[in-house]
Amino acid sequence: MKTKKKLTVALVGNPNSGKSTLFNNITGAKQHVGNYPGVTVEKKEGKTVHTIGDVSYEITMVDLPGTYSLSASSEDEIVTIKFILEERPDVIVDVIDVSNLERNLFLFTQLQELNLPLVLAMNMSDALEKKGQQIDYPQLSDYLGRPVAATVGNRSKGTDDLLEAIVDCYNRKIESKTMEIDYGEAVEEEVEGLKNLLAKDKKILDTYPQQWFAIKLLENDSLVIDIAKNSSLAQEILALKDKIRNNLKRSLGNDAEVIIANKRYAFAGFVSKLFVKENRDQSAIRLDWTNKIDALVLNKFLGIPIFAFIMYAIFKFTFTCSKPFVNYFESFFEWMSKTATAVIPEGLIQSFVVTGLIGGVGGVLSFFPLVLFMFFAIAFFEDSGYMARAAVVMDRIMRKFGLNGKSFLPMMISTNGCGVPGLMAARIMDNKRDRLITMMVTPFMICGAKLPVFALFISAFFAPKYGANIMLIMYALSVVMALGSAYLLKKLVFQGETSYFIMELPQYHLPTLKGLFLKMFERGWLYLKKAGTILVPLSVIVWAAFIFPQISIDKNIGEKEKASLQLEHSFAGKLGKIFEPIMRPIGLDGRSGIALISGLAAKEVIVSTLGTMYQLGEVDKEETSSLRTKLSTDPSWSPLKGMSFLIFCLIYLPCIVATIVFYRESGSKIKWTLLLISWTTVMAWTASFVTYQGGMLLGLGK
Amino acid sequence: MNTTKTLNKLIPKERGIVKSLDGKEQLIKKLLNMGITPGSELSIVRLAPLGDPIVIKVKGYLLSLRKEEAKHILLEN
Repeated sequence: MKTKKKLTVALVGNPNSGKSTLFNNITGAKQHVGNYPGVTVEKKEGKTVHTIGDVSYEITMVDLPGTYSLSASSEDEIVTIKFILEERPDVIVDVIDVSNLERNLFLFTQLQELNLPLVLAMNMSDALEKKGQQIDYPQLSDYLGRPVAATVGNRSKGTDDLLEAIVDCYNRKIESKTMEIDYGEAVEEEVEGLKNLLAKDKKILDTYPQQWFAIKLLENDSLVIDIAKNSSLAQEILALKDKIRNNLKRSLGNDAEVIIANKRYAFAGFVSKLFVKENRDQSAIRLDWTNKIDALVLNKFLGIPIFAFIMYAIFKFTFTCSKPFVNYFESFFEWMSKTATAVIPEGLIQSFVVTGLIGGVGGVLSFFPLVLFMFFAIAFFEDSGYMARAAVVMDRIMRKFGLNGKSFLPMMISTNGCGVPGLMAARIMDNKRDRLITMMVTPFMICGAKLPVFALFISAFFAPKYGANIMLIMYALSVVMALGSAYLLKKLVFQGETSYFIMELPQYHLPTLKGLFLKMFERGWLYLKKAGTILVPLSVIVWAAFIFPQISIDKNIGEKEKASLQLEHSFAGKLGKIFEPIMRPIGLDGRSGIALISGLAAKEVIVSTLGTMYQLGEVDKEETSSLRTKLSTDPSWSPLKGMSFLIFCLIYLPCIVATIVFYRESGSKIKWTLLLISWTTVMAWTASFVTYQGGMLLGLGK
Repeated sequence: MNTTKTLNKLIPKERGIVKSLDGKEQLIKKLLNMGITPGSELSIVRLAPLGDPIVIKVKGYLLSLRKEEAKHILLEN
């Protein structure tokens, strides 16, 4: 008779420890990324079944964010610690990069105090061998009192051993009193006193491991202090904590967190000295590739050109390789609207399907291949280790503007690409201030959807020979706006908040294709899901705003006049009227207002809205040129007004999809979203105002 | 005169031993987590192309930080 057992396993480990590769090996394609309730950082979940004898174990693997420590100093760490404390996984797996054992064991010293079944996955043993070193794993396991499995994530080695160790650990329920870190007599004595007091609060006693809680309290860890504040003995506990901290400072001359971290690292250093052995047979000198590559990519003269070249290569790769696919997608959606037009009788339903659904969704989905290629290229440089170096190269420049070396990545993804994955890429920043500022300015970049608008206006109002230059000016302006805004935000909104740049530079290694594809699809799926769920209802709303309320149709006027009249009476048309007084000072009218509002659905919609308003209905290539002629010959427009419109378009609100993603990525904070909305609106209006009024003063109004 | 040696004053290839850390609690905790504890040996590996941030070796791995942060790492003389 077969029995089934279900268990939850949490994967914990340092960033760059190969945790995700291990996770991919164990769960294969059976994984999904879900929002962890209440926080923005995503946890990944996957399932696998491991059978031993008659028992099959259904293992749910949870891949937690990579952390260096279990203190509450970053969002990722809080997610990890809260998951472990609240969900109480059956087994914790600590993934350790053995080629970097000492620093990786620091996290272990904290994990083992949680008194939960704990397995160590000793990963990257191949990298250790390359360094001419080896570890006796059974001895290390005995010493630490925890099961150990040796794995090589990149070559899918040791996965079964790890599963075996997990199940074994689960069955034995190692509630181990295996080994304890020696914090020194002075600390241990004080900790005992604190533990005695904590034991009086039954809730704390039952919920949290005592040693861990007491040590974290002494470290002044904000998460544990918050828990203590809710205790019935809050005052006594906090008073004793402060007293002990003062005692320790007086007797040992250091803050408790320094003493504790020191002891933990002393333990980690001791263990790694004891167990990492130089392998005499292989101690032939090995090439230190990381050092060689760094000497090149961080070279004083070559560093910046190499960075620029790699960025260019990413662009080139993305656009060249995705082009056929984008074309294919576009023709597919074109074919769909043609078929729908032919099949569905003319009227509301046809308009709903063709304009509302296919037109709205297709416009954005055509970009999907481009996004996938971009994700692939970025995953390559991330996994290889270069992205960390790129951040080092850029930090000096970006810092001046309140940004961070890592900010360039989101901004780059946005330029000619899409702001949605750009905003999501801002996650690589662990510093809250830098991340928010980066997210605020990322939408200023000229994304792929703004390009058709710019193409239309530049060709309508400026001689062809100036076209490229004006486009270049717009790109330059987008960078100036982004950096300028970042600088102002730093000075005005985030004044006094500190920014750090403390980042590990991992060893270089060749990414695996499997890893790259999984990363590409994972992010691509997230993009599709986020864009898709918002895009469909939104396209419908925009379509409805232009089509309702319906007016009674006078048969005597032509189709095109009818469309124009309908537009004027629609909700969107009325909204445009309301905005008319605001648009005047920047040289624009209510109609431009409608076009800009429709652009909130997706920026390229501006072109089709203008098309409708200029009684053209559909906008395709040939008609774009006639729309261009209409615009350039319309007396209510002028090159100066066109420029004002362009500048407004460059800076104003990101599309609604991007705004919603911003809201989610900022931790669902209305405050920041409102700041984004008002900031971009005010900046856009001001810049257009200066352009238009300045131009008028200079007599360019003709 | 105060002649405390700090990490930002070292030049590439130079080594030092951490004496203590100062600055805000958040920064100190971050540095401690990354292995910059009193008594640890550090060496400057290289500088970024624009001279800042710096790349150091500590506990056998490479860490990058700004000179501004390195100022808060006090070294034994």
